[in-house]
Amino acid sequence: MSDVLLELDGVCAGYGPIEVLKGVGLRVDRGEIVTLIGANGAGKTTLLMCCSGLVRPTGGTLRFDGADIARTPAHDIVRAGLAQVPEGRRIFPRLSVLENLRLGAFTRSNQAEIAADLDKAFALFPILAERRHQAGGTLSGGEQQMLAIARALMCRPTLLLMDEPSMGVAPLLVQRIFAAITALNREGLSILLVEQNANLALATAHRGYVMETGTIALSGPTADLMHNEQVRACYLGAR
Amino acid sequence: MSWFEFVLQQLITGLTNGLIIALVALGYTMVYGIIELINFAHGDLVMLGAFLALTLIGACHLEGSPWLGLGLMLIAVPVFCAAVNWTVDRVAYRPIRHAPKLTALVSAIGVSFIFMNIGLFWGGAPMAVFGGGAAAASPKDVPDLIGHTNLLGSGSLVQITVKDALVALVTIPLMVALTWFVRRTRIGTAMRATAQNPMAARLMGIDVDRVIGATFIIGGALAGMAAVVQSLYYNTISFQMGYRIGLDAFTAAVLGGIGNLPGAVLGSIVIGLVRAFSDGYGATQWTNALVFLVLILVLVFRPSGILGAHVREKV
Repeated sequence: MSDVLLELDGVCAGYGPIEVLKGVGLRVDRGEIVTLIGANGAGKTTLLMCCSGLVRPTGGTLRFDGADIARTPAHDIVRAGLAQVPEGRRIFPRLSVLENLRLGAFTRSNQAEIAADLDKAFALFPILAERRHQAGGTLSGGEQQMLAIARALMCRPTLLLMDEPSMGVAPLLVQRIFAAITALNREGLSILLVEQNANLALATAHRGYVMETGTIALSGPTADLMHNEQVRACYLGAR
Repeated sequence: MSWFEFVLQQLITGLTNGLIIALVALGYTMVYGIIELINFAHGDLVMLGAFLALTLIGACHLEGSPWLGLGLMLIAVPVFCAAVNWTVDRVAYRPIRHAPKLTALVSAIGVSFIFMNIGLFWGGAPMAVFGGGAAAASPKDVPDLIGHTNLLGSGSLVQITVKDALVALVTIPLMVALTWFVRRTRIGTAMRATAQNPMAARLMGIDVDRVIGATFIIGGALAGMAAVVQSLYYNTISFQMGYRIGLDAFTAAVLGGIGNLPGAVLGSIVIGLVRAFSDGYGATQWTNALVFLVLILVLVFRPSGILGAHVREKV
């Protein structure tokens, strides 16, 4: 078992004639939180979509857990242990919180284990237990984000991709969500975190990548990136 | 017949009509709910099912054994329609799943034409029940397998016939079963999830193409049931019948709130009643126009339909 969990090399992808990713290289090791920061339109979401099999790469290699997943159907990628908390949360609005969570475990069949994981999810975010019979669409932004994270965890992933978990979430809940991210990582979950809030992202992750118009411009341990002049000027709001 | 008995009779007829329409409307609304496609070939699928039902009657000489015949048809025709519907999705809709919505709509209209022409060809089959192959285009008589004994007794002016009972006995359990299936089973939950957010469904590990295939199979099977019941109830079929069935069912689905299963049943009963009362009061020639009028009024004043008001989604 190698230490490299997710590995992208020279990945190109786009929508029709529009090329969004122009040869991206990126790596997530087991047990790491890696963050990907960059301006809107840099291609961060497209990169996550590629990893989840929702956008097909037109070039380069894409490996997860030792296997080439560039052509693997999206549902098989989830089975292999790669889950995603998508941008905008994508909760099933007319299904209850409980039904949303159970769908997260769609790839699994052991009911006892699923029940245990439901209890874990409710322990991680107690508000979800309170609202378990409420329709997902009636939750607040932050609650929906918690539901999206808990739902993604229900497939027992080894790698969790998170796209903008702080977007549209009240500041107090952002703190709680990031505390949960750190806690999940301590339990052994590897995380690839795309985040607008670069300060928070760099404070949470071990390593980081800076993306600019479809390529990786910079990478390194987050401690280095935080002191990089360019990163400070462009993403951390320093003068 | 007093005015009360008259109204009662129209209510019974309307309800029966509505239940038949509902089986078709459910197929429309399920497919729309999951891939936002108005499957214009759905009414014509019912027509093909009806042609198969009549072929079975002719080929197996079912006139003599009505209940066996009914059982055979209620198995063979839904299986046939389910297989055809699944194949249509696989061949005509799935390859263009990611194209603009209008592309699939045009494809559906094309499938409708193909079905109608198959029906026209089928109507020329050299069988006694098809008139021995003469006049392929003319409407065909379906033998009256189950009769029309009045369950209220021969003295009653109001009639609830064996046919009405057959319709209720086939359609209502199917609707209950469908509701259970969609609410309680794994594939049913996957269907609801896919309908609400296909991308999120894929991220849950759901094979969306299989779920869509299953939806076409279920919609097709319901259309097959409707074909059998409809043929035995009205005793006449034609290669053009899919148009009217499709119109009624589509209007019913929109009226109830397209994509909404209870809505489709409710809308169908309303349309069935509109038809029955329009026919009952001697305005038969206006009935189709009236159904169109209902469709236009719904689209103008309440496009989301009676039950189509969604939970407000926060973003």
